[in-house]
Formats: sequence, structure tokens, C-alpha cells
Amino acid sequence: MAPVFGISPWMGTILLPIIFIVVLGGAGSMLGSVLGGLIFGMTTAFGDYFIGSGVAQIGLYALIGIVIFFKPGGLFGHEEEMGL
Amino acid sequence: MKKKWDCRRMRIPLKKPIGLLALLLFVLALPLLVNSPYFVHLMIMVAMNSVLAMTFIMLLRAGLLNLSVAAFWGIGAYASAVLVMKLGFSVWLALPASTAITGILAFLVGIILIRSGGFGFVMLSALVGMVTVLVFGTFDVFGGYVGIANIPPPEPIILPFFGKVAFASKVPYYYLMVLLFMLVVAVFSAFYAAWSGRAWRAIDLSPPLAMTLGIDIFRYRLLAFVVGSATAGLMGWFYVGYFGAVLPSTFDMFKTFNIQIYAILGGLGSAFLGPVVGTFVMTAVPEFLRIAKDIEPIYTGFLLIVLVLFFPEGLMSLSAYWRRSEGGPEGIARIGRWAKALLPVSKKV
Repeated sequence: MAPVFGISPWMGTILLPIIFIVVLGGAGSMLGSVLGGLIFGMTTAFGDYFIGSGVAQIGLYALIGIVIFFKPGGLFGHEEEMGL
Repeated sequence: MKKKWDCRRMRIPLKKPIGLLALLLFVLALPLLVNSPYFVHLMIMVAMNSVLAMTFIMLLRAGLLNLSVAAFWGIGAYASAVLVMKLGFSVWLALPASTAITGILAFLVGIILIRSGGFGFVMLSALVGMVTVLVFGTFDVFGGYVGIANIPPPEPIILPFFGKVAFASKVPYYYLMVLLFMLVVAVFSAFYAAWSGRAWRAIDLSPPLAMTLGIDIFRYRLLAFVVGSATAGLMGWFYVGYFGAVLPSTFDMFKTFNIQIYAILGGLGSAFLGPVVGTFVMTAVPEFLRIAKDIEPIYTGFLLIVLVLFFPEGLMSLSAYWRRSEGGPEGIARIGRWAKALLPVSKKV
């Protein structure tokens, strides 16, 4: 990430979106994480351009919420793999 | 996490009225004794944050790890700010209005959140915590990321013995906070002492077992969520009246994590004293350690690690040690073992 974005002490604040990417894709599934990251990155980038950053992120988190509600294990995971 | 709820620590010790009365008199006389606006401000912040930690513990009692405390605190604050600034409510009228709005929102959100159960609740409440800040920052009604400023303080009130009380200095806010704090403690302890408290404890110990006893898990968890969130909204109203401004970033996830630290440091086993002790330590110690403002978080973080290492059940486990009851001396014994390991000399003595 450093060559693209530069570094700062606040880089760690990306931790929360990362957790949601993993949960969206499904914990324990590599493909799920890749797809979750793809959805997250694409929605953020295109949303920034077309409908504004705030609305795009709200929509994205609402989407993640719907996925968690209907499929608590994520798109490609199983619920019991979270160990919670 | 070790589940060890002590039901004695969930209630106010009403059997010791003299001690309670002395404590109340001390709390009421504190601004007269100290006469420092900064100290009074610290005490107000301790009280507000400890009430937020109490709501976190209340949800934990019902078996729910709530990550949306700060979000509902912010909803209460923004509801009252919008009501006062955009709709021309008086600040006192905004008190019940913003609490009710927060409660109704918590009811609607809670229906969805609690249905998803366990892990889903943790993730969805974290999502609520993040989306709330985004909504406040995005839409113009809420003033965007610069927030809403110049909110008037509560109007002067006329009390029987004190005459006209204007909210000009910090002392009236202190007494208002003491009043709200006592109200919250009374309401919470009523909920813990009543049938709902026993139902929460049963649900927390074992949800399937609670179901066999005829306890409607969904309904009691929803009750805890609505009561806790509405209390957080009440604190949001106080925040707006006290600071006169709201910023979306005040109510983000890091505030929720701080509230968790207050609750866990004090001890999850006690519903009222634990959050107060934890908040006091986490608020006052950084202030006293303020040798240089920039490196103060390093000291605070180090202190936090040490405290959690020695007292994983919270600072309230110390009091159990002094009462010589069971399960208390863990932290002291651990300090003893560490001291022995670090100081081989002590064996000879």
C-alpha cells in the first residue's frame, strides 16, 4: 500500500473496513475475501465518482448489513467458522 | 470471557443508608470544596462516560456485545441539536423528545439486529455505528462534517429554594448531571431487580435453557437494547446542552471502543460502581500524567496494559479481595508471583 498511498500513523484505521470485507466474503474462504475486497473497492471508487463518497459508503455498508442479516457466515463461508 | 455475575453487585446497597447519604452529600458538596471549573468539568465527563459504559454492560448482561453505544449517543445528540436549531424547540422540551426519538429508532433497528442473533448482532451493530457517522456527515440537515455549532444552553429554570438558576458556569451542569446520573442508576437498578433482570441473567447464562423456561429471548433483548440506547440518547442530549456543538467524528467507533475500555477496566461484574471506577481511572489518570500532551497516550496505553494484565476481571476485583470473599485475590496473587519471579532476593527474606 505504501508506494500507492504513502504512509501515515493513521493507516491502521483501515482495520474496520477490512473486518467488514472479510465478513462480507465469508471467513475461512480465500475467494470470499478476494470478492469482498473487489466489491468494496469498486463500490467505493465508482461511488465516489458518480454519486458522492458519503452516499456510496452508506449504500455499501447497507449492502454488507443485508448480507450479514440473511447469511451470517458471509457469501462463501459457514457460520461456525467464525468461532463465535 | 469468564461469566461471573455477582447479583449483589447489581443493586444499590440500600441497606446502608448512612453510607449512601454520606456519599451523596460528598458528591453534592464537591464543587463547593474544590472550586475549580476544570475539576468540575472532569467530574461531568466521568459521569457521562460511566453512564455510557453502564448501557454497554446492560446489553452485555443480556448476552449482546453492543458496538453501537456511541452511535445512539450521537443520535440523541443530533436529534436534540436538530430539534433546537432547525425546529425551534426549547432545550428542555428536547430532553424527552430526543430520548424518545432515540428509543423509537433503537426499537426499529433492534428488531432487525436482534433477530440476527449472536455474531450477526456484533457485526450489524458495528455497521450501525459506522453508518450513523456517515449519515451525519453526508446529509445537509445534520450540517455535514463540520457539525452544528452555537446550540444554546438550557434555558434558566426557577427552583423552589435556589431562585433562578442559569446555565452559565459549569456548576449547574454538574448538578444536572448528578440528577441524571441518579435517575439512570435508579431506573437501571429497577430493571435489574425486576423480572427483566433475572430474565437477562438466564439468557446470558444459556439461551436455550432460558427458552425452555418460557423466557422470550427476543423480547427481553429488545427491551435491554431500547432501554440502553435511550439512556445513551439522554446522555447525547446532555452533551449538546453542555458543549453547545456536535461533530460527527465525536460519535465514531473509537468512542465505542473507549466506552468498552471503561467498562472492562472497571469490571464487568458490577453494574454501577465498576463503570464509574473504570471511567475515573481512564479519565483522571491521563490528566494527571499530562507531562507532555503528545506522549500522554503512550503512558495511558502502558498503564492500561499493566492494569488488564494484573486485573483481567476489572478493578472491582480488588474490592472483593478486601472483603475476603471468594474469587477476589487473583490480581494480588498474580502481582505476588510476578514480584517473586522478578526479584529472586525476596525468597531469602
